[in-house]
Amino acid sequence: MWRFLSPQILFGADSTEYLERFEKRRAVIVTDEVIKNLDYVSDVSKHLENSETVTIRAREPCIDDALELAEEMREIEPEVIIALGGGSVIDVAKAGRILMEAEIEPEEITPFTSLEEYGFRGKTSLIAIPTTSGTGSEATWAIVLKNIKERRKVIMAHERAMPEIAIVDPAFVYSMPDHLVISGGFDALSHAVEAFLSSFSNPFSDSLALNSLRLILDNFIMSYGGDRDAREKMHISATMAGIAFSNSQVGVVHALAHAAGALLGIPHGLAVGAFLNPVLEFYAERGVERLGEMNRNLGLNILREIERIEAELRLFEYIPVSEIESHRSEIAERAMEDSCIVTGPFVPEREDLETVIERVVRRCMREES
Amino acid sequence: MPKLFSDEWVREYMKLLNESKEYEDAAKDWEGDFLFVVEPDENLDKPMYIYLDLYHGKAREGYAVDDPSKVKPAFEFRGRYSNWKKLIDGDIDPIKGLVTGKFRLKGNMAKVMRYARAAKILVEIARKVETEFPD
Repeated sequence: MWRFLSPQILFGADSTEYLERFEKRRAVIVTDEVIKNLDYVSDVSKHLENSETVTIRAREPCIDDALELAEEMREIEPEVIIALGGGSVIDVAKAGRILMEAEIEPEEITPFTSLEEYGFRGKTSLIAIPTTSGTGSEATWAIVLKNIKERRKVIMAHERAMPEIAIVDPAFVYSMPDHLVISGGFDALSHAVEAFLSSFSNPFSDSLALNSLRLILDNFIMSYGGDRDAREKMHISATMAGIAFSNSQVGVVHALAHAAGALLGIPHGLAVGAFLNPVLEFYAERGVERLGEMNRNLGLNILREIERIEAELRLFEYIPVSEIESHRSEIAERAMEDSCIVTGPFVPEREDLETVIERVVRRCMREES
Repeated sequence: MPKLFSDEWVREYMKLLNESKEYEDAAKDWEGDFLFVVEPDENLDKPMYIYLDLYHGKAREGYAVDDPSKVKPAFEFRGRYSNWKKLIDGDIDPIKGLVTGKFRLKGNMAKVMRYARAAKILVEIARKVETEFPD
């Protein structure tokens, strides 16, 4: 037995208008400083009669951010929370929505936890409006927040963390800066690939993984070049890839990226971009059959396609290679403790991860020279 | 062949666990004891329990339990007999089993999430114990 979960999804031009159904509700718009300065908040609040805005810090999301948000929302008592921002804002809102009701340590929010036993009743609806194309957080039941003190990313997940509604409106990504197009695009790409390769993959997630992969491979470069249609397709495919991995899982690429990201502060999308192909090469050498199945379904060689995109977007210029090299052992050790390590096609040994990291370093150096 | 959740079964399970370098590595910092509970269903008329104390990559104590109120473990993992049988036969993934409610876990969830690999190995080793099922 397995199951398939997805929010209700509104997508395409003007999909934000759907918020008018909530115009009489007491709403909180959760966003960050960057989005607030872009005037996107008024694009949302104009559809609501009774809303106020809570602004969180624009940074890698931390457990403290979610706790602070929960406290604010307990005072406001909203009927609906609208998370407007990238994956960081949405993850903080997902955790904040649970923590405002449940008396629970954030790290105890796991797929196995009965939130009801901690007082969670799900009184407040959550609507997510992504302003980047990549994390898929608007459509998943996962939350990734940093534990600053321990310099590690905490993977939380619960069915009740998933937003009830995701509004995937391209208006919010047409003017997205280049670095976010790149990091988000690699994040979406890695979600689609890892969802298909996961030991939890299933016909529903496969369908979304493969179709989002086709869209991403066809549109990533053009989206970077500013093509509006390509950017819209990337926005939709990022959500599709999010649903795919939420109903399958991500694996080793994400375990390594979580570890490197938390230790070295590498943006998540760039970290998964750095590790994606070296992990796939490792899988290919180990004869992972699903990799061949993916290639056959797509009618191409995924490794070569990713190399093409990496080269075109000069991914390696953004990777702090010497830091990765000097922290190789620590990254591998922490990745082995990441819950994503068990959901790939097989569980690697720590030495395997060190080999993968070595490949990342070699590839970056080769590109630099 | 030892009967499921008998003392003999636990001894064999502990032996295999303590021989596993893979488990030792994955659980090297783990501290926490478990009560495993098999709940009765149409193929089992009364519950079965085993206690297992896992510490730093080794199983240091384990036995079948008659009265569960006499143990105070940090963690409890329970499910119906038919689901246990499928788990040990390799027909249920333990994580999927927990997510879909076939099994329930009590204890410090955050800690368990950091030892996902050790948990997977624990189940893989249980599958290696030649087991006689009650039905």
